[in-house]
Amino acid sequence: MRKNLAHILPPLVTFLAVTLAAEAITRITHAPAFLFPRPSTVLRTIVIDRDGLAAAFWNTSQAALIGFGGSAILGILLAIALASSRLLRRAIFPYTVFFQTVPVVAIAPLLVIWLDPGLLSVTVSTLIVAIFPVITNTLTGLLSTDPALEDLFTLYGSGRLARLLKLRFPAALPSIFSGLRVSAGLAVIGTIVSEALVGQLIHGEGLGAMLRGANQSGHADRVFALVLLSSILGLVLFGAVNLIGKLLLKAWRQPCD
Amino acid sequence: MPTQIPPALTLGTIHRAFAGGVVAIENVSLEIPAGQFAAILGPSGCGKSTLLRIIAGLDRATSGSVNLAPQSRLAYVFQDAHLLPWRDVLNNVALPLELMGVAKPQRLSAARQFVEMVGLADAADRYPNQLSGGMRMRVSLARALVTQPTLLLLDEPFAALDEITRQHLDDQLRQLWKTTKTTVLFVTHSTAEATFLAERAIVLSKRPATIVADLPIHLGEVRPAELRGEARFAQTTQAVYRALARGEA
Repeated sequence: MRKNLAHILPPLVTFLAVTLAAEAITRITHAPAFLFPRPSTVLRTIVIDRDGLAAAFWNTSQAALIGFGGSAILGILLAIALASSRLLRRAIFPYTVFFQTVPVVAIAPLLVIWLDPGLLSVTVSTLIVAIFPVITNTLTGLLSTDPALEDLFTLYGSGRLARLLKLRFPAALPSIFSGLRVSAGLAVIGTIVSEALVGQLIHGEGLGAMLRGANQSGHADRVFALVLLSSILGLVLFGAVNLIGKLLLKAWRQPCD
Repeated sequence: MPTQIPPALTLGTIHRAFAGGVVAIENVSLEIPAGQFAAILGPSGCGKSTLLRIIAGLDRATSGSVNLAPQSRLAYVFQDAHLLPWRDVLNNVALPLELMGVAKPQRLSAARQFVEMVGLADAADRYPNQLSGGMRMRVSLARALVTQPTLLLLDEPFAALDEITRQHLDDQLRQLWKTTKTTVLFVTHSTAEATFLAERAIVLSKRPATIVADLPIHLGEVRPAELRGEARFAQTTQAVYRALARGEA
């Protein structure tokens, strides 16, 4: 408990200090509210529109989670396929860089046309944004197994599947999780950006669509409220992945040789 | 009738050159009788490990022949323990049997037996990161013995350990060899370790490795730890040392 507190308290204090400073500065300088809304105004906006924001938060969470889950599963499977053959790696890997470099702004509108505006087009753009770190980190992990352990598996006549399941995949898990952590943050950004581009979702508005609306109508307090909620979503997803990784990888924590 | 038992291992004029033209091993021929404890000595980087890997089938000789006795089972112990960090001691030891397709109850009971044999019964459910270096090496040894190998290959297995742990493990290895009666090939660069452990010291020259001496070590069957303080031990170690020094020249 004390240890948890030691982790949570310092960033919380930073947050409060920065927020209070912002409150003080905006009050003292009488900064225009449409440019620099006071934190207290932002808080009031959140409280007043809590139902609408909660619904949007939930919609965005769903899209981000589905997109992230999809990129995790597809990314790991793709990396396993790439790790199994040097030829495949040479033929395909350069194109996976596409996922890292393509701006979601460029493809989201096309995805909307191809897939209709809605959850599907948003999750697909999320997946495209979030998949690259999963692929590279998994691939690196799968290809950097201890050569002595590879020899050991060879010596006892291990098949390819046993080698993958009992050696390469578990050995790659720490690396896979560092990929997933990066990917979790990207997934939230990807979802919000594509929501903003797609606009109204079939099943309801997300944070991204609201963000666009608030920006266009010049409601800076709403913009800040939505940014705060987006950050919280990113933090929650990142934290969840981190926690699962830590619990799962207890035995991996210290290198054994 | 020892002559009727086929040798555990016969090497015929082994030659190994690497792609860059570096010759690691030149013209090594060797016969290891079944049940012998033989040490292979040589300067660091002379090709001892390469020779062991060729015997294990993990590397190929450029020319020459490797003949193992029929129905040989090989086991290999590396310089470091190389355990799977996500498996406890028992399941690390059971790994070779698992890969060979032995059913779970059998492989776990065999693993338990060998975990006990190396004195780690109390640590069977611990993970590698909870063990000391010496304990990890003992797990590695148990993992090699669990398949009841006919030929046990050890590549400087205790080189990374402190002197006390190392001598302790040498004592234990010698005991294990006496109970299992397996053939052992032990690569080391320590003349004292080779003298204490082996019946025979095969000394290799610096690269390209060739055999410069093949010395029998007559220090008896039972070798208590006190042997290390005796004059005959020092003399034998000296003889091995002189051969090693000749090979370095």
